[in-house]
Amino acid sequence: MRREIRLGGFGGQGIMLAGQILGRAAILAGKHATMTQSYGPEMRGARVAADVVIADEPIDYPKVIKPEISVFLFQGAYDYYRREVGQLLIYDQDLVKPELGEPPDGLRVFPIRANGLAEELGRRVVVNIVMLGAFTAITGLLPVEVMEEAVLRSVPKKALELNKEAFRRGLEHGKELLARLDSEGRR
Amino acid sequence: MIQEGRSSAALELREVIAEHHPEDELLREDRIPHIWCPGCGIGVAVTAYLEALKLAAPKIPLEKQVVVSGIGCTGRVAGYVSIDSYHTTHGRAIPFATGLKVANPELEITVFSGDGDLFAIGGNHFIHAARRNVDINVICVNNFNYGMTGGQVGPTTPEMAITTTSPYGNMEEGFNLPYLAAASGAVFVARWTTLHFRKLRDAILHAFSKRGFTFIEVIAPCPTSFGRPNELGQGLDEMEWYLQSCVIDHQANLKEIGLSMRKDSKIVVGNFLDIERPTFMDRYQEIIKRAKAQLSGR
Amino acid sequence: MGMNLIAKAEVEREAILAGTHFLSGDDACAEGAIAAGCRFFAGYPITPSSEIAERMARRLPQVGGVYLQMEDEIASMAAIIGASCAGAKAMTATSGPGFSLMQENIGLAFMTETPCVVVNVQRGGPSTGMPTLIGQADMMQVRFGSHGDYAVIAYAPASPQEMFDYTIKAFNMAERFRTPTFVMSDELIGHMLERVVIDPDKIKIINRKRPRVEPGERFWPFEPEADLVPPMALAGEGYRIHVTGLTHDERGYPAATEPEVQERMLERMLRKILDHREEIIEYEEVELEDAEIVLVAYGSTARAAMRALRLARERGLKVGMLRLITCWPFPDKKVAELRDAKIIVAEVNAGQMAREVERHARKPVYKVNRLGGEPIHPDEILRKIEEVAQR
Repeated sequence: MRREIRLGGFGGQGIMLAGQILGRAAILAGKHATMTQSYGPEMRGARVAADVVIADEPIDYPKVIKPEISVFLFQGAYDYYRREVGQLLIYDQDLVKPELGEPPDGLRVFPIRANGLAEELGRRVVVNIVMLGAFTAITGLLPVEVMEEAVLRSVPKKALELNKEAFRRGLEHGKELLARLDSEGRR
Repeated sequence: MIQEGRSSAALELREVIAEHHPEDELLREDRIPHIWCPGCGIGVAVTAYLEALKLAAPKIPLEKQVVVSGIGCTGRVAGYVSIDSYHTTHGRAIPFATGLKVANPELEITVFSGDGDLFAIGGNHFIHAARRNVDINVICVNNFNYGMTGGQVGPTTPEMAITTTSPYGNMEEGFNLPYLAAASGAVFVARWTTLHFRKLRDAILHAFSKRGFTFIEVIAPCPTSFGRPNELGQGLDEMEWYLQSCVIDHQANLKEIGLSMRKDSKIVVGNFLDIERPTFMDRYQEIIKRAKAQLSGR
Repeated sequence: MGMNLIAKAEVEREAILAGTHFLSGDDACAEGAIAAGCRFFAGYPITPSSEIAERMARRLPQVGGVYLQMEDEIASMAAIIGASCAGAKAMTATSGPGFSLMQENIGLAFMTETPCVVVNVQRGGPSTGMPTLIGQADMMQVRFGSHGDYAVIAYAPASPQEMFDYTIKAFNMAERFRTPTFVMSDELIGHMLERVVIDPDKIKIINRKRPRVEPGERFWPFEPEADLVPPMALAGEGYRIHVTGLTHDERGYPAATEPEVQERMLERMLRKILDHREEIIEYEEVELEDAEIVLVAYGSTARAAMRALRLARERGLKVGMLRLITCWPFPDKKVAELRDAKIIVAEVNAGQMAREVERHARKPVYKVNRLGGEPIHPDEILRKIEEVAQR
């Protein structure tokens, strides 16, 4: 089955790396994956998106056609792509204000405290890894061990522990959020 | 091609033409006669190069000597010298030679080309190869015009000189080549004329021994295309002019040795600059070490 | 010194990035070059090919090779020809504007029969066009961009895996036929990441033929053997060769005023490639057996066409695809066989390869075009299929 994921943020947030980790994890899990990207001419600070397609069979068209899952770490990226949000919206609660009101039917929404958790770890640069942890918990798209392995293979050696911790915190945060929504019957 | 003129130099030269040329061993005999006009200075520059090749042979075997040319009269040099020789595209001899040298640093590579080829269409390559300090030699035969195509104005044509495309006089200043070469990073910079045969040969020999980017400007007569419109006479007359106006000054201030068409102006010649600087490949060895260290450290 | 970049008979296994990876097409291209034995890269940064240069700058010194960033693409092309003449396997990578600057020396590489590989990651043009976005509009430039007549071997990879595989193939064909070869990628394939499997045991390497006589014996550097390809002597081996971009005879000597030499030499240079077209031409056939409508596509557009094909088949339409892998030489016979079907050519240009398909199918084709900036969407092709099916 073809699964389409869009990760949106601004340049410098590690969105491309997050997309690569997701694709790499899919490969490790024996699946097929493609990642395409879009960005403007600016090196930093502008909207970027990493689009990932994951499938059990070889992928024909490599670009995302209609993303099932959208993850945003930047208001500008959300604003640009909001019309293409599919079934699942995951966003950083401090960096993105979706102003959805009551979410439309079929859309599940997950605000994540990724930036806050990264700041608590003392390094805001790991916001992407925190978000991947939460993503793993919420989507269940790929096994936790595989995602963690992909994270560890993709980050500098000297930052292994930091990233491991960032991924764990994100994962736990995602699980807690799911549990809370379950208990409120809102999932 | 022999023209009417004040001197009968070309006719006199005919008498000394022998069955065999002392440099036959280094010439592709089956390609002679060459295309150059009587009185042209390129042959003198080539002979100086061939003598230098022979003198250097005990240290640099001929099979390691390579000549690369661009396009133009001087661009034909590669076609006559009997060593590995490459005749490339217009202006691109230097980057071609750069690839050759980097791929096989054992080769002693000399780019032999003209002023238009090296400094107009190929000017950018010249300054960058000098900056990188690629270990090649560049010999530029400077005859102040595009001879092969009919004597058009070029990047070294002196101000006010008459050419087929500067019929009222050249309004641009020509490049001061030694100054440009030194500023760009060459480790050896010389200028001689075809009159200074032994000095030129020795400068080429010295360039072979240098590690790094060397540059030798050879001022040469082009009686057919440049001499005639500028009333410089035959090739031998131009040599006479060199004799009268050349000043050897190895310590010359390079800024002040630009060439002029004024009859009273001096042509400053010499081996102006001779320094040491790490070559591209010297530095690249360090890069390879770093890359390998980083790889094994992983 | 000791160090040189002259290609060895075998590529050191430890240089090859063995394993299963998630790589961009550009990165896979660089790895393919290294696996093919390329040890010299000269280039100039240009989007969307710069990642190839960046990876080569990182990887080449690790394997004892040299990355040289030149002052422009003209110099880059000249430098790889020079390096190849000294015996290195050499490559450059660029995009539209840089490709234009390389054209003169591409002619030199063809004329001097110097093996080398040029990668063009195509973007939107003409001129500066759309540097970060896709185009496929250099397909005719690669065929005809330099001056004079020449024959071209050009691949259009459709995935990062094929960027790896066909960069190796490009080197092999360059060496086999002593000619410049081309990898005509596009921005989508260059920048997208996908699984790339690298198995050193499966990599086959071809090296150029070398002189069969000793230096000093009679050796003419452009005297062909039975396959029309002359063995190649390297600079510094003692053969005292002359190599020129002028029309030259078998000795390598200029014959720029002798039309009969031009006829003889140029005809051989064309034939050495075109007579081997069956050996060179590659394409992929998808469900052509019963196809009433045939899609012709290449590069990233073939992947949109593939999706459209599946969707159309689900709707009961008999659609097949001919995916061009070598755009040049063009698979003329295969296309001629398809002439009973309705043909749709999809490409991100105004119809460049469509013209060639029409020429060999001997009938007009239907076209799906975009002029650059955006890949063709599968739905656009599907709509065209449905429209054509009605006729």
